[in-house]
Amino acid sequence: MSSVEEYRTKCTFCSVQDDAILKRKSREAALFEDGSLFKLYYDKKSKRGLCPRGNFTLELLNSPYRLKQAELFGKNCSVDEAIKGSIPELKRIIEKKNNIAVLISGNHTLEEAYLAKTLSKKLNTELFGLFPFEDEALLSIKNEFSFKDLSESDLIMTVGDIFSLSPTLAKPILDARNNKRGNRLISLDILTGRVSLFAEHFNIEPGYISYFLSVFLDYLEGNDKLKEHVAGISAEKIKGLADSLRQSENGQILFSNSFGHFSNPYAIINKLSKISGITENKFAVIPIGQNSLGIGRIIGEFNNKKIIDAMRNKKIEGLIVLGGDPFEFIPGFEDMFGYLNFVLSTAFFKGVNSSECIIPSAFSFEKRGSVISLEEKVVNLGEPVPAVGNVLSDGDFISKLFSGLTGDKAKAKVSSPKVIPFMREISDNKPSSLTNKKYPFVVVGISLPFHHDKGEITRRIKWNEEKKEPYVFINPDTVRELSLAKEVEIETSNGSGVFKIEDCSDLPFYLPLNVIAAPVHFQRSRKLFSVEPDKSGFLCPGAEKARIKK
Amino acid sequence: MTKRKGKNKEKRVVLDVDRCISCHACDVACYESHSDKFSLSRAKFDLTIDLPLHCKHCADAACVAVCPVEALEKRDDGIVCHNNFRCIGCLSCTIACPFGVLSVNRVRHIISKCDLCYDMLDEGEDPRCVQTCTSGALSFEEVTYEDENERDRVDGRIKAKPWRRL
Repeated sequence: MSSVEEYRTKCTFCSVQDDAILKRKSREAALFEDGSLFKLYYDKKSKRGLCPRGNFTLELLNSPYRLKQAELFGKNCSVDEAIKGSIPELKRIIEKKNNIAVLISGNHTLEEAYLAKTLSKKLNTELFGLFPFEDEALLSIKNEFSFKDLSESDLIMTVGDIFSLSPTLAKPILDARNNKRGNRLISLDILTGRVSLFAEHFNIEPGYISYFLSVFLDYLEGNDKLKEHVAGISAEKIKGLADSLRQSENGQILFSNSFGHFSNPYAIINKLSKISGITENKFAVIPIGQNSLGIGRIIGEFNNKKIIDAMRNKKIEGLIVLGGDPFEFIPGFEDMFGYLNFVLSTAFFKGVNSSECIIPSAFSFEKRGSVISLEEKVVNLGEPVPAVGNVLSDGDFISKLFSGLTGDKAKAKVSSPKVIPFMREISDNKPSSLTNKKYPFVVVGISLPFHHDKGEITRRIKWNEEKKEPYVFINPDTVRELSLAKEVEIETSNGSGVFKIEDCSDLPFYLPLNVIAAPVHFQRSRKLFSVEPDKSGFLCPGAEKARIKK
Repeated sequence: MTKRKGKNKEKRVVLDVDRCISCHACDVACYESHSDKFSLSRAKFDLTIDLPLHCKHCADAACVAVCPVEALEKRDDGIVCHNNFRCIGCLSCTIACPFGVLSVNRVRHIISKCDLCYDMLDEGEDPRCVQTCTSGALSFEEVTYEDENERDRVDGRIKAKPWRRL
């Protein structure tokens, strides 16, 4: 009898949730020996393959550097000891209302999110938020989306570089475009991305996309007075775009965003939602986190601004981060961190800076539970693979912490996650130019599907270690014209840093002369972007004005 | 040009250049499953195109012919395999290969090449790069040398309809 273990599960890296199969020869083989390691197989059920980051998830699962033991104030201990040691500190902090914040990643299950909500109530706080912050602005949309419909659409309009952020959507999108003569793929973005190589591309100046959509919406609503050019797009092209959207029979509009790319995403999705309504096309958002839509709706409020404000104004003493290292995803966290008395995080790897209490957390395929899919269905993740070492799922950890705090068993109140209605009418009728004489460049955050060439980076725990230093892409003509050295100092209104200029041949798209593209998986690159509230009050870093110091 | 017919009908990885989005999923899948070796070369044409290049497992493989230590051999099923233990890293094969798809592992001083994931083929599955391909650019198809005459095939292994990208 074969002893091969097989688990059918879902890729937990992003919201596309592709199917995957994990197999290993024997559970009894020594830890990290070949037989005990999982191998990845591709489930033909999904028909979409698995992106480099999805393949990379397996490596994180098998990594010998996984955090396997809890730490309390820098000392190794068991999870129970860590919880026991944390409780007096937490009890002291929660005597005051809203003295602690809880942040939960979009890669948790619905069950974990309900428990986390129960815990935050017990912690006497309303400061319960979702990260990555870019996903929060998407919670007012109920997706009209199915993979089957997508591959049969006669028109797909993408806003953002979906092929870079969610590469496995490429197959249904290209299937739709190639399905019938006359089918169209239209791309709207602030620089030409991977989608634009295959699409009719509308290159809109960074900072102007919300304004462009306002004008476009105005035109669709019957105002014929179009200017000759709007944000670099001619009136004729805008009319053509409107006609295409109106004439499509089963069109789909898709929006995806990444750190440092689009400013004002809330205003953008508001307008895209209206555009899809007027033109009778479907509209869907593609979040970064696997279950951001579900978790954000369980939270039920837009709390991130309140949390960051509270941290900046030193109004809280404690922070609990479920599913990540706050130093990695909050730019400038170390500056806010100094005064926080107690930071507790659950993580898969130990970061450079550590929290007072770190709990080793179950990761990706080791999780049990359900998530909300892009198709707005509740999907079960399938049987989890056995977790390595003494790691706990965040659900189990929350239950333990809850009973430690209260002596009771955690009982989560379950209700169906509801879309958060749009707060108010978002008007953005003024263009916000990002360049002036003082800052002639625009720095734009980009995300590469493979993070680095050839995927070497997948052998690393931290994605920025392959190319040791953060780097940026600058148009070679700009480099020649300004006689730039190999390293340049880039300054934005938010911060500055020295970056290596990378060979543009690594970048599969054309860069305008005044645009600097910064891969934002480097923490130092993230610091160029401001985590200030945008016009709609959301913390979603977008393109920034910049200058180069020689 | 001499055409080879009939008996050379084999299943090979075919690349549809019109669908490749250069996401490198094939690279990573290959790397993960081949003990951290890159067996796929890449072709960078300009800023916009960066495609995977597979070994074509030629009928009369020049790499096999020139290898002085018989580290490369053609299996009965047509797959050209590389034996790491025999390889002395002389790079003769990389020079002989007319397609430039053999890559050099400069740490181990040997070459690495595509073995078509024969472990997967034995299980009736397609090679990993094909299964993981996110855009449907790679397929595992039966190719014959007559395919050279087809309008959308180059060398029987590359599909191209360049107008689609225009």
